[in-house]
Amino acid sequence: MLFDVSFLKKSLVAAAVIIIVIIIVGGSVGYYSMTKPAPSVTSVTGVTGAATSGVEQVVRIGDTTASESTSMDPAMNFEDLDPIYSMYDRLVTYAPPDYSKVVPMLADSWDVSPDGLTYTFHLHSGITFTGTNDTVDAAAVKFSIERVQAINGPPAWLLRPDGGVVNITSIDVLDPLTIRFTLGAVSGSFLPIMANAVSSVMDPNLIAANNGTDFGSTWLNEHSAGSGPFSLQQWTRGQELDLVANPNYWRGAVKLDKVIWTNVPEATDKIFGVERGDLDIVGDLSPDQLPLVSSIPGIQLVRNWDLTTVYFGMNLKAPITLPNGTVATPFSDRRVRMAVKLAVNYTAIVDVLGKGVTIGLGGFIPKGMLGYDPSLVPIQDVARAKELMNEAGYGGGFTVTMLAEPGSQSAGVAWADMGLEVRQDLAAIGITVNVQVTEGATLLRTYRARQAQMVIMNWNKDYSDPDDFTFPFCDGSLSHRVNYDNATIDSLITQASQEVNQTKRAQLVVQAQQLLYDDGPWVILYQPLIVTVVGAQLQPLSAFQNIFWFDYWQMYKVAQASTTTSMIMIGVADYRRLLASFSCFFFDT
Amino acid sequence: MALLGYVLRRVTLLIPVIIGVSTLTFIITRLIPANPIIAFLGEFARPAQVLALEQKWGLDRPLYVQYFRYMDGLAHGDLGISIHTQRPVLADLESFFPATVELSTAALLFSIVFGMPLGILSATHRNKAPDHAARVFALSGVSIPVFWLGLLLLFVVYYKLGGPGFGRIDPSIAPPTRITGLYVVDSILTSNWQALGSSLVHLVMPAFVLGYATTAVISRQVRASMLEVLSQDYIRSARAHGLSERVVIYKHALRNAMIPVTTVIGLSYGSLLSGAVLTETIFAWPGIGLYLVNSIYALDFPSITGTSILIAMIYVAANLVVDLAYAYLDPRIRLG
Repeated sequence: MLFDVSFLKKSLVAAAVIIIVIIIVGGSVGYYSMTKPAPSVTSVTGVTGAATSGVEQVVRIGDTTASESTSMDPAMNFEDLDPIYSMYDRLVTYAPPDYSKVVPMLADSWDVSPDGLTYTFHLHSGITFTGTNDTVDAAAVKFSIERVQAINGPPAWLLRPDGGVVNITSIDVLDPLTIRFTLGAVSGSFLPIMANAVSSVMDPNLIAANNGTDFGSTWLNEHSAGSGPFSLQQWTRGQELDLVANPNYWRGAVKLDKVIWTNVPEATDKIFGVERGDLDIVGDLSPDQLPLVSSIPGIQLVRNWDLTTVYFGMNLKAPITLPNGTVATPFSDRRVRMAVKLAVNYTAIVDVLGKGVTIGLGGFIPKGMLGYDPSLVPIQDVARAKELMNEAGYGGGFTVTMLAEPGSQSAGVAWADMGLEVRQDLAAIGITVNVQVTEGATLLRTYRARQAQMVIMNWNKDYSDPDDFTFPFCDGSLSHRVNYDNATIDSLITQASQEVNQTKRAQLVVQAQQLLYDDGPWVILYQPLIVTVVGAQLQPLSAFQNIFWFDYWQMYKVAQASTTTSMIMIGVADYRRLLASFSCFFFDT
Repeated sequence: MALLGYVLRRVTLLIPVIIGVSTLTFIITRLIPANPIIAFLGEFARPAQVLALEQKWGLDRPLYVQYFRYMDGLAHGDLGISIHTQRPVLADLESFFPATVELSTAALLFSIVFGMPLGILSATHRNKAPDHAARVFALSGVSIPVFWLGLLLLFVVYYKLGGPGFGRIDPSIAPPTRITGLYVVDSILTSNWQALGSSLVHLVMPAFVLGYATTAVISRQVRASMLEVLSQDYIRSARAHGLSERVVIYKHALRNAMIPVTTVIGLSYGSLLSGAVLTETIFAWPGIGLYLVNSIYALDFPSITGTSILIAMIYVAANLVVDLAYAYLDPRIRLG
């Protein structure tokens, strides 16, 4: 007989037994190893020694950096830059929460020529790259910037010689510690871009030794060539990205041994993980989820305002059919645009939908950036709005379509919810808003083709300079999409862009915002806050106040009383937590 | 020899399947009115940058040239370079696929080990309490959404009880040295018992969640075909000969009932391997589902096509194994 049934039976039983034994043995081993981890432990010197000794100095971040990041080469990556900021230093940096000016980093000081076209940086002496004895010098800076231009990757638009945001015409090494940049045109964006990850200073010798066919780009996904507080240990795509401390960091001792980005896409995993202490830092939680996390003893919430403006726009040339059957372009009338601005209930959006993750904003320049105008506060005045509609001849109202993306804005407020609030507000002045949730790519295509009647979106910083906001909102990518043009404002922002004196520049930007508030196509809704959930052991919170990156090199972990108290009782709060995790799974995916 | 010939013929049939799948995926991804270069470079890409990348990736060529280039690469085992990760697609699949294989295999083992006895129990206790209990279990298995079960288990086992949570291994334990990419196998090969323990307990929950529906289907299939076999004359004869019920059930009925069950098992393995997206998301499991989702978001044509080819090959292979198992289970079936 080819096949004996008893064999099948026996093998099934055997398989079951083996699996059960493996699970039980493995389980006990696993539980043992989990309750009694034997990590490498470092005592941190310089910070309250007793509290940190015996604590594993490893920080775990639960997000999608390890799976979604495209590259760890500063010249190839424009998103998920947090690890790059920790591996590389730049000439200058920010002193958050003020992003309106830069402060020294690799450069101790710099001189700007009176015409604003030449910047001469004086480098700090005696800095070496991690793992080599190569000096961080002017030649390395020149090499790094020219490398970005040559690779021409995603972030190269910031400093390309032809048509980049900053037109760098030449980079000259004056002596090993002095470097001069010459610009083709005055640009307030130059220094902020020098603080951006794209301007990371890299070790030319190390890159040359691993150049390959792509300027070392592939090699840089497994290694790093910077002078920063950490260096890349390994990157298992989709799984985790590990940085190890640079033992000789020039700005001071690095207290952590390791920083690990673990791939955790699911909000529920993030919440459970940070509460159980498996994750130390998580973000991207919605306003509904935050109360669940903040109620846990010891958990710390850090709120930073993001350099982002949430707005909705009105297309001046969009044909709209009126109730009497005629087709008109109501938004080409300044009074209709103002009526819409006056009809919106900003408080409801910021305080009710935003639930503490948003702050009100009047101009398009967010708080923290040069040119922010706190006096510009949007007001709701429905009576005046109705008058304006009548004056403009649209008393009978009309119907428009507002495009909104599925999902939520970065602070976690759902686009559709905001759309519905606007719909309710504008109904009071006779405008019927149909909120149409449209997938991102399709929405952008319609918007870019200047065919969207109304769009609700946000504008996120690329670097901290008002030019990154003034041009799109007044005379660039965004304003063109809604067919808005205003010569007075255009000349104001061009003047601002070329102004060397930062105080004068800020005044010009404020002026442009005021004019745009009175005349423009935008209803500015709010500025989102980025809320980061920090585990109970991680200190200090001041290392989290930067919205471009976190200062991992200043962080350390302190001992904490065991959290393995009896948690088996399931109470009402648990049901809420569970329900919230189901709902967030639905909305996130 | 006939068997070898049969296997060879079936493997040769893979070629038209791969050509078909890659052609279809190629056409579908190119029909999407979106530009992967813009997706990669971002909104501010300058025309010169776009042009340079178009040339580098060959996207400036006519579609048929792109197609033949791709098929030429495919013939040489080259799936192209991923737009998103900038690595060969094959290397990406190598790093993501083992996680899925491990999870799906565990899920299938779970389904067989629990599904078959449950089905037998149902059939031998038809319309009695064990059968009703098994029916409820099966109905829950096919009705409970994967994400709901996954979140519920994570909540109870991980959050409330402090058991193993998401991920392939405990965060404080280093993964085993990579040999096959399967954590369980690698830990055994490198005698890393701590990693073995942790990766095994981390497998239990996702494997249960992923395999629950399959368990239900297998148990129902076993029950149905067992009932059919048990009503056959030869079973009656066997009983009439005074054979013990154990021998009748296991020796005579089960084997004959196995053929449809094998089909279900084989096809389930295919669908487990390719359909673990939700389970992988909930358990932060870095497998092929996660890779595919990221690729789709990034409009990464080469990765999407490569993954589709892999999934098609899995189905074909699973079918082949099922057909081979038929001949093994029923000597009357001749392959060839």
